[in-house]
Amino acid sequence: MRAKGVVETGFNWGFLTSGDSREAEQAGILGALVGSIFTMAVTLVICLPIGVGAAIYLEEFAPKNRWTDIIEININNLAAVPSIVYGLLGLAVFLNFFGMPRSSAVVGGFVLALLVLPTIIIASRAALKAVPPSIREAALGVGASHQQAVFHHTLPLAMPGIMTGTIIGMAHALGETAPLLLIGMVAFIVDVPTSFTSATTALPVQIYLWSDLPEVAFQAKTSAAILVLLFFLFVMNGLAIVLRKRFERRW
Amino acid sequence: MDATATAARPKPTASATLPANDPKIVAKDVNVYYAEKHALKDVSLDIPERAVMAFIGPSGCGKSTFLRCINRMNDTIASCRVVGSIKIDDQDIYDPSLDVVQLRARVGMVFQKPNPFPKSIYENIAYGPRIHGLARSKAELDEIVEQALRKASLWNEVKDRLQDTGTGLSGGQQQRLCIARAIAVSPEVILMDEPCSALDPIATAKIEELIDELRQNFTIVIVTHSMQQAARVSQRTAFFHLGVIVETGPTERIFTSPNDKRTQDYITGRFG
Ligand SMILES: Nc1ncnc2c1ncn2[C@@H]1O[C@H](COP(=O)(O)OP(=O)(O)O)[C@@H](O)[C@H]1O
Ligand SMILES: [Mg+2]
Repeated sequence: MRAKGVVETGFNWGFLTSGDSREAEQAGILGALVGSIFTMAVTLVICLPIGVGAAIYLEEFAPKNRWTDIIEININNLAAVPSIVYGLLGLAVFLNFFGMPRSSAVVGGFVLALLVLPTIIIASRAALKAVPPSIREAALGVGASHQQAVFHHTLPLAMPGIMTGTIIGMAHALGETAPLLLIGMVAFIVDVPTSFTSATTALPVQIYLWSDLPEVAFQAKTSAAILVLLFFLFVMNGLAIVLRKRFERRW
Repeated sequence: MDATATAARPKPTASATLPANDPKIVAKDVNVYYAEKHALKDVSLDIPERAVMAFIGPSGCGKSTFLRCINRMNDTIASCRVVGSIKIDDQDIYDPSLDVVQLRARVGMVFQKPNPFPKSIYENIAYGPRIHGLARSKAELDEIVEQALRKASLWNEVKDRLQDTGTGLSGGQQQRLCIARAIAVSPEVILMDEPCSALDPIATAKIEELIDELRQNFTIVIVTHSMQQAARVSQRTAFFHLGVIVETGPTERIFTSPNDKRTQDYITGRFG
């Protein structure tokens, strides 16, 4: 068949540059990829400031009393809640209560932000706690205020750890499927999304969709999509490792 | 800073070596508690201006605790409670209206383990003056950094590598960097908590020499567990034991004819 020119082996760029299709040979990953990127962007914009802010507050400023103990326990518990529960929460709160657009990257991003927030808070607190108290004392000793000691010294030194935690959290979010199913990101969508509110799907959901289709050709599509997802996960985890190695214990 | 205090401060003279200076710091009936633990009991002490006062005593007797009261570093320990009065130039430093940040600029501190910021040598020194707005221009800041390093006898060793990281210096250099960092905000008092305990004898000798020079301009309080060091650098000594000051007086007298049996036992090495 190859000799007759019916089949050819070569890199299928079309796979990376077109949206989904009912026809296996035309189906591409771009829609899901862009959807994932939009969703991740929303997640990051929400959970980085809130997560790091909460960690700084809890670690450096909050009084140590029963309330903060309860908050701390709950954050740890939230990190262990099954992700599908976050999907239900998103469905109930963002879609039904606030009436946000179904199947959109915004809602996906909000739900995943809730999901990774505990991870980021816990990682950031650990990073802040790992900064030796002698640095803080040195800053206070030259007359820095508590806030100055935190923002000029502790936080910059904790930043690599915070970044690592954030990237790992984002990688987790990127691979998350279940909560997205519940908020409708599971639809068959041909168009590549153009805005945060347009209907979209995400990489792991696309894999789930294709793996369910009966045509044999979609098996290959599924495998290829998995490779794309894995590629991004490797890159993100690699980045986290590089960050950790580079900034390890400079004091 | 307190203008009247600056005006009243006598110029250093040869007599500065004598412990007859006016007290810079007056502590009266200071009690410190860590939660339930009573760490300092009714401590009263005068610390003379522009001289070196040494705190000696066995481990855990409250020397660091008292030292940290003088710049209110104990405020950072949640369980710690301080009662009594400590006055610097007749100003009560535990007055609620007093700005702790300003106090810590007036009362610098050098810690047991050298703790430079993991930044450049220049940044280590420049940080304090910068947050207190002591320099109006880059040139002024450069000048402050140079002067502080000179006063800490470190300038010649680091002048060609001010942008290198401070943590890359040797232990003794790091400790002198920390002293320079404290000097850079022009404090009146410098507290040192066993500044040489992590250093080798040569680095220790350099720091001691430096302390001797610094007392021309600063009131220095040093905690040390080396009695030889106390004898070498200080003009007055206070002996702490189990949270009280047993005895205080001119260093020479404390070491040659202590009044109290416990002081005698300690300096002759019978416990400690
Ligand atoms: N942060 C703290 N919390 C509780 N107890 C403390 C703390 N710091 C010191 N102490 C206690 O106070 C006493 C005096 O300690 P310290 O002033 O460090 O002694 P020194 O410096 O003379 O060795 C010790 O018994 C010590 O256990
Ligand atoms: Mg001590």
